[in-house]
Amino acid sequence: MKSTIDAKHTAFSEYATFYLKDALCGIALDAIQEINKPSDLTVVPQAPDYVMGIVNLRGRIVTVIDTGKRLGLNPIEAGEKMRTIIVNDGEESVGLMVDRIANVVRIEPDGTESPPANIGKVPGRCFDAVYKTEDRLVGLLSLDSLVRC
Amino acid sequence: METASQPTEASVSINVSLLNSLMNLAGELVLCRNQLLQAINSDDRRLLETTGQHIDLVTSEIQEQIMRTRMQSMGCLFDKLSPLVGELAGKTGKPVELSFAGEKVEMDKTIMDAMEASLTQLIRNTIKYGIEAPEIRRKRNKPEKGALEISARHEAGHVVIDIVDDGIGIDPDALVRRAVDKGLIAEQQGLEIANETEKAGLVFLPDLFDEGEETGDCCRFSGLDTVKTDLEKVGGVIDVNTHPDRGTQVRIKLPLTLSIIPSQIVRLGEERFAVPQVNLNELLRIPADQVKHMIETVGGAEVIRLRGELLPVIDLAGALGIERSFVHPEDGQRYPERRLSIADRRSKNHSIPETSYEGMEQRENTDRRRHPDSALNIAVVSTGKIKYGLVVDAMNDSEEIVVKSLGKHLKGCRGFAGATIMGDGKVALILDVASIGEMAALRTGNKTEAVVEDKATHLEKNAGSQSYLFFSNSQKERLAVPLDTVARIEKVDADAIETVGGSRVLTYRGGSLPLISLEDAICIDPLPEKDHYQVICFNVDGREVGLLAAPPVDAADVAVDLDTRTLKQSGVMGSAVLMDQTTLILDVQQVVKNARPEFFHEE
Repeated sequence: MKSTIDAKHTAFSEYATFYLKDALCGIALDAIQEINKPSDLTVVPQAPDYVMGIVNLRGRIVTVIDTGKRLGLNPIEAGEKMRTIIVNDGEESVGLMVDRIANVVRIEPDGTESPPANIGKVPGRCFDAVYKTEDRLVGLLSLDSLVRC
Repeated sequence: METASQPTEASVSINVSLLNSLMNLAGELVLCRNQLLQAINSDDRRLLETTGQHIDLVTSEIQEQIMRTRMQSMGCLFDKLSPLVGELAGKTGKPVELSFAGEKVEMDKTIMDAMEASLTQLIRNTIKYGIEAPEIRRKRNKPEKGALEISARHEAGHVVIDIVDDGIGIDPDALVRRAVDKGLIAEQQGLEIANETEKAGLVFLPDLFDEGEETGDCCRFSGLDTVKTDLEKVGGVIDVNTHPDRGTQVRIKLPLTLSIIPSQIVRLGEERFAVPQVNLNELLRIPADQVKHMIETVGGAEVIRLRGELLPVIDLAGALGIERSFVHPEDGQRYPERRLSIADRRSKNHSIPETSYEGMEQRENTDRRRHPDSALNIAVVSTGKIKYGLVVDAMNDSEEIVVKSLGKHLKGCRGFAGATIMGDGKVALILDVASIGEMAALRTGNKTEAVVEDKATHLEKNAGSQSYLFFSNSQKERLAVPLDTVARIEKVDADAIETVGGSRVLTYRGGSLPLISLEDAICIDPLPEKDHYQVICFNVDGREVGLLAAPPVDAADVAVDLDTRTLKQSGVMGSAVLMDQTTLILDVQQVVKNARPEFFHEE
């Protein structure tokens, strides 16, 4: 009996969700290293416009990306609830700045649908899938498309 | 060369005792953390202080030990070189006696790897071209076996590697001729190189020797331009000393390590940047009222005249494409800068007399551009071929910084060599002096050429010139002394000058510096009373003497056509028209003699 529960557990995938303005998005939880309050950003001149700057994460230099701008949405507005999601990308870490953190959702393997050609202004290739909760749609972001140069 | 571009190899061998001491230190660090937690919980200030000290000690020791794990002894490199020398000697039929010194000298593995290719190339050159065939050596009364000595030693935070041979050497003058013939340097320029080391340094010019070209005696330095650039990448310097027939000495100077570098921190707006000390020549601060005179515009590019040399000036904000801003001295707010040119110090309301320095003093001080905060801060930086002044907002301290690389999203940003974490935890970018120079040159197009051209004509004009220090006594007269007689220049408050026993002295570094006024020594308008004086210090007969002077104090290289008669008097060498103004050139020795004859009677 127990083993079947375990098997069921592993089949679930967990996503951390967050808001980019009003849009609810999610990232696979196991890709996330940590979530931080934004610290002092150092602006890098000549950087691509979606790069907000670099921060010191316990002695490592982390590039912080404006997730909104990266997806072609509105840039993140500075606010109290703003957070940086640190994700690992190969050798380095990248910070994804988001407007507000929401819940962690558990999604059954067959609970997602493939993304449409575009969601609002965002092209569909930025999403791995979409997930419908009772009242709204969560765009599950493809991490690769976010952090790839 | 290949090793330089490859990432460092995967493994290093580390001494077990080193590993043990690292383990010990890690344990110590854990202990420190526990103490720290305890101190914070119990709110015990004294314990906090002692723990702080302890952590400080442990961290620096850990840092030092970890640095040592990256160090490799030169012996490893020497071991690789001796078979190479043997092989080359066999191939060319020239027996070579190879000797090493300084096997125990240690240096950073990354630097050693980066330099290995360069060293191999140099040795190849030496054996192939530098050492003569045995029969020629016999004729020239040299031992049949060529001697090649490679030595390494520590010198003031650097590793110095010498490669010395007793071969044919190179004729420096032949190098100059060749460089001129190939059109790599101007003829005039060639004539001006007097220094033998500088002449020998021409071997590093790219394209001086063509691949595989046989030019008899002097073709031993092929591919040296790449050697030089490769070494410069890791902060190295290379010099050549050579005597025809006696041999050649190639000296390579390399930093011990790359990961911690001493740097000057500069500020631009809110951000700080680090300029590696190896690239830094000097720091300049140009007072607001002199900017217009020091900064000139040549062909649309701004240049600064520094001791007779024209240096291009690059505005860091402009080069990086940051909006220039300034803090208004009155309300402390930051505003965007609207000025286009650094030298633009004009206000809308006041027109500035262009010609005289006197006008500066009377100008109203209300304009922001005259405010002391508007002084220009320039870091004079150089790397290999290029040298320029970098305009920044302010200079902070110099610090030892730890170099960290930037993420892949920022690989496209030029102008940075990496980032570092400052004491307050914020990140500062490390400037790459070479690429900033390139970026600015790109934006200004052909303007840099104009600067070089102007510099060339300037040099030509100044053949036989000498450096003088200009100053004034009363505002109307301009005076000069040869710069090499000046020990230094100080700015002093009038309050700091005491009158003791009828003479004026300045208490300075624990001693008394005798001061003389020029009007006591020669016939000249007296120095007006002021709040501040410039004191020019001379060494006369092994004694320091200060001469009171008034600004502007400025140094320049000028060709002097000395008129020794028109304005002749004791203490004056003569007069000359310099920069459209009659200038009295002083005989310092005589001036001191006139003012204080007793200084000389003692002897």
